[in-house]
This record gives sequence, structure tokens and C-alpha cells, in this order.
Amino acid sequence: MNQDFEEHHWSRRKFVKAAALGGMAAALAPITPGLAIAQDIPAPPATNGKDALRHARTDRSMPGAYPGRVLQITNEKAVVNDAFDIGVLDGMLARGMLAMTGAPALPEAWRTLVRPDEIVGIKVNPVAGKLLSTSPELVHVIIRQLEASGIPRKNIVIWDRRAFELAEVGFTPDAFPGISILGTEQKDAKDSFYDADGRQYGERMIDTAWYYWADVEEHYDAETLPYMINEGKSSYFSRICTKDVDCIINVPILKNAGASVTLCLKNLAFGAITNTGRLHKQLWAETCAEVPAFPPLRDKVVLNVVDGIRGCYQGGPAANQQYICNFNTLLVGTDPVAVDRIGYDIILKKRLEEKIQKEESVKGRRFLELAQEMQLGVADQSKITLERIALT
Amino acid sequence: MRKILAVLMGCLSVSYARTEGIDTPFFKSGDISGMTVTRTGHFDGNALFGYMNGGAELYREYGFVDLTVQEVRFEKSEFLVELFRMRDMLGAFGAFSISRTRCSDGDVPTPYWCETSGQVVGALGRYFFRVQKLTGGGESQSFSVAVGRKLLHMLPDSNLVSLPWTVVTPDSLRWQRNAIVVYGPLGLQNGYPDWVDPLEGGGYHSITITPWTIEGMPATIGWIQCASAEAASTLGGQIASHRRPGWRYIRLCQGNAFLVIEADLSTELLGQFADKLLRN
Repeated sequence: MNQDFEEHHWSRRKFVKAAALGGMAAALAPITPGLAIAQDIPAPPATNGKDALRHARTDRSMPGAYPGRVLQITNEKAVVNDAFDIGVLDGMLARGMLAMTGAPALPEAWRTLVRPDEIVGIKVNPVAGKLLSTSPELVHVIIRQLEASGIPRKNIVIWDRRAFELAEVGFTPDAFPGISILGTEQKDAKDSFYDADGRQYGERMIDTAWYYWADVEEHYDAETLPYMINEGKSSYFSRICTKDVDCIINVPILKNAGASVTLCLKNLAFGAITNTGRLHKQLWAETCAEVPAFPPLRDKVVLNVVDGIRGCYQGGPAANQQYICNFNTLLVGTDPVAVDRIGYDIILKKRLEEKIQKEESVKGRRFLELAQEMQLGVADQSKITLERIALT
Repeated sequence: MRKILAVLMGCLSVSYARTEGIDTPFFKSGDISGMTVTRTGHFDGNALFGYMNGGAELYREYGFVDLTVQEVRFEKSEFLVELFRMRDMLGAFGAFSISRTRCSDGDVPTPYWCETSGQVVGALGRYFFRVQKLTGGGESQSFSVAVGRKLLHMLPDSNLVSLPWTVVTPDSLRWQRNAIVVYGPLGLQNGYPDWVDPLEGGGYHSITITPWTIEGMPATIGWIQCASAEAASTLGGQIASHRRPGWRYIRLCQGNAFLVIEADLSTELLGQFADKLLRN
């Protein structure tokens, strides 16, 4: 028994006594020094996540062509005078692609992952606004390299949940001529979410054949509902990923989410389905791990490129200026779990350095462990092959 | 080649939620010389999801009522001005307390005010505000400060929430500026992540956490309030089972609150400190 703890005012025995005096009979186990006894934390609500595992895997299924392999490319010159240098970003991504694939030239490197006749969807993250979203500069670089590999512009789609958020951070037809820009949730020119028949435009963008069911629901008011599209216990996949694109390049931004991170898996999971408001509180980790395990994502995501040129280590996923910094980093890999693990380590290191935390939280990596159980990739750091490329 | 549903429904312009009928202060162009307001929006209730997605849950923990958000232009830079109205003053302070870090030294117009590079956050009455630079080079801090100071004058409520034990120490301003108030796991994640795991089971109503020094040594003082004596008894059992190794001192007070001190000091010293704290 910890002597200090015994000496001062509160011991286990006193808890029992107080509980008894208060009319409660609390059966408490004896304390063993250093032993953390499991708290009475309720199990998360049930989901249909395990149904995803019933679908046969393909040769493209996560973790993709290079399981457990992550390229971390850095260049301190990526940002100059607060502006992203497209030439530097281009060089960083090129080096990462060549190193990962071992191809003799960049177009060939891309062609190991995508085909010229495919519709390629670039899944970005614009939710934190201009301060902290996937950079248009990096997306320009990806498009340029895809074109050089034979993918025509008309076969490229930039997408996310909300068309208006995409526009807000610079993903517009003017900035990306010839590229389709799609959001699951949409408004018309009059700023309405609803058509003349009173139906949400977003309802046309969902595929009810694919859904994530969870035994939790939330009622949304009239203003919120168009951002969720539907209520109830099902979250439907966007038809953008089920029907409109053949493969997906996932481009999240390097951000913390509390003591965890919102990277590849979160960008896919919460970005591809409806009715997500109900999932944050009780099923954050499970959603991140289980939604990408369904074939519309599992079998289409061919590459993950984490935009870590600028990111945040606290205050995320929203943009809190004081915690935003230039990491000058890209993380590249086909394995979203491994890429997320490396991103998590980067953010954790920064949080410890900045004394945001004194030690790692055991919950921070839970979503990675669950994703590994769902066969999406490698979460175990000792089994990840990390190649660091420092450019100057 | 597959067809793409290539219809963008004409919404290339950004829009915020409704602006009519806003009854909280907001800026008009020219309220500060050289400032142009480019967008104004208002979000209340669950509509906050539309503005900040999952980030809305954090402010709901603090009793979010509504948000007025504006984008303003000054010289060649763009700024974001967010004014949150919360259910009560402690909720506003709580949202402020988890949003500040490494505040600049110097005079402050109100105790609950924090300037960092490119950002000013503050709280007054039921309001919490944040001014951030979005884009543009050049100097921005003085403009952010000007906006924050102007907001303070515009707010209808000039009361400052009283935190526990601010009168205990001679340095009450420092106490107020260090304190963090949380109502739930998201506040804890953002405000004091090291205490997330031992308090994972919840069971508390609010926690006030203050990094401090005792006898020159770093310490963290926590005041964990529960909704009832019964809730405190349950939480107490969890604390006893799963306390952090650094939690050297835990005392049940008033039947429904715990004083927790994390410090590398003897329990005798901590007990003396606790006695002094609780006498006030």
C-alpha cells in the first residue's frame, strides 16, 4: 500500500465507509500499488463494423501495395514568407513516390497505383477553413504528377463532405480548371440545401446500399440536418466514393484531435459518410477504424499523402492559431494505419516538447489498434518501416 | 469512362448561416479605422456543427448558446473574429481557459485576456472571443489587439466570473490566469490532457485545474466537483483505484468535491497547503 496515500486523508476504507453512511454499499477491491484497476466505463454502442470483414478483399485492398511502409519527406524550404513553394512540394512528393515504389521515373511510380482510364478522387480536408486545411498547392502538385503519368484532368475529382467548404479554402473551378470538385452536401445558387421539391441536394449524393450502422442516434434541428443529410442509426456512404471514383488518393492534414490525431483514417471515415454528429462522442475511434474497412474505401484508397507542411499539435481539429506550426513534412504511404501511426508520433513528440502533455495517453492510439484489427494496416511501431528523406 | 455527377450546384461563394436578428454585438466596416467586414454569420444550437463539424462538441460541453463570426480585412490581411455566447460566465471562462497558452506579458485590459502571435482570446461575462489572423503577411498583432479591446467595450456584460480560491493567494491575478475549467472529456483533452485517463469514467460536474507552485516546486491543484454526494462517492472509488502516480494528496470536501494536488512534495506539506486553501 502506498504509504503516502495511506497517511493523508483519503483511503479506500474511508470511501467504503462514506458510501455506507450515504446509504450506498460499494464493494471495493483492495488497492495494490501501481496497479490500475479497470474503471467501470460503459462499452461503446454496437455497430455493423464487423460486416465489413465479410466482403472479399481485392489486390487493391488496404493496406495496399506497401503495407507497413511510410516515407517521411521534409524540407525546411517548403514554406517561404508564409507561402508554400510549389516547386519544393513537387520535389518532396516526387522523392517520396520514387522511394516508395522503386520505379525508375515518376510517371511510372504513379502508374503502379493508378490507371489512365480510372477516375481518381482526391479526398481533401477543408473543414478547419483557410488556416488549417489541405493546401491547394499540394493538390496542384498531385494533379500535375498524375497528368504527367497519363491521367487526364477530366478524370480527376477533388472531393469532401461539403462543396461550400471546398470552395472556401480555394478548391474552385477557377483555381482548378478542368477538375471536377464535388461535395456530398451541396447548396444551390440561392444558398439553399433543398430543391424545388423540398428534397436535399445531398440526398442525391448518397448510396443507401452502403452504410455504417451504429446503435446511437441524435436528433438534428432544421439548420443542422442538411449538414448530416439524415438522422437515425445509419450513416450512408457518399456516392462519390461508391460510384463516381475508381480510386482515391487520401490527402489529410497533420492535426491533433485531443490527445489523438485526425489523419488518414479520420479523413476517410468521417469524410465519406452522412449522419456523423452522433458518432463523435461515443464511437470516435471505432468509426475511424471501421468505416474505412468497408469496400468503397478499403478497396479504392491507393495512396495516402499527409499534408504536414503546416499542421497543429493542440486545439485540433479546429484551427487555433497559436498551436499551428510548419512541420515542413509530407508523409506518404499506401498503408493508412502505418501513416497515421507515424503522424501520431510526430504530433505526440511536439505535444510533449511543448508541455501540452507530460506523457502519452493510452487512449490516443486506440483507433489505430482497432484499425489493425480490421486488417487495414500496421499500427505497431516496431513493425513499421519508416524511411526519412530530408531535402534541402 | 464512368460518368461523374459533375454538377456543382452553383455554390462557389461561401455563405454563413442566417444573420438576421443577431442580438449579440458585431462589427460593421469602419468600426475600427481601415477595417472592412467581408462576412458575418451567426450559428446557434446544433447549427454550430455546420460551422465547425465535430469541433462543435467542445463548445457544447461549455454550454454553447450562439456564435457570431466575422471575417474582416485590414490592410492586406484577413482576420477571423469569433464571439461565443455561453450559458454562463463560468462556461465562457472555461472555453477561454482551454484556448490560451503562453500569453504575452504586459498590461491586459481584463484578467481573462491572452495575446499570442497572431491571436487574441478573451472572456468577459458570458462571452468568449477569439481574433485570429487568417491570411496576409505583415504585422497583425496590434490590429488583433485593437479588435479584442473594441469587443470588450461592445459586450453588454462586464462581469468577471469568480474562480475558486482566487482570494487565497496574494497573486490572485496569476491564479486566475492559470486556472483551467472543464466540464467534460473534450475540455479535459484540450485543457489538461494528462488528466484524461484517470478521469475517463467521468462522473464529475466540473473541474478547476490550476498549475501552480508550492514551496517553489511545480504543482497542479484540482478541484473536482460532483453533482451530488452520491456521485462523489462513486467517483472517489474510481480515483482511489486509478489515481495518477503524481496525485499525492486527495481530500473529499463538502461531501461532493475533491481537492487533488499533484506535486512531488510530502503529504505533510501538501496537507498544510490544503488546509490553508480550504480555510478560505
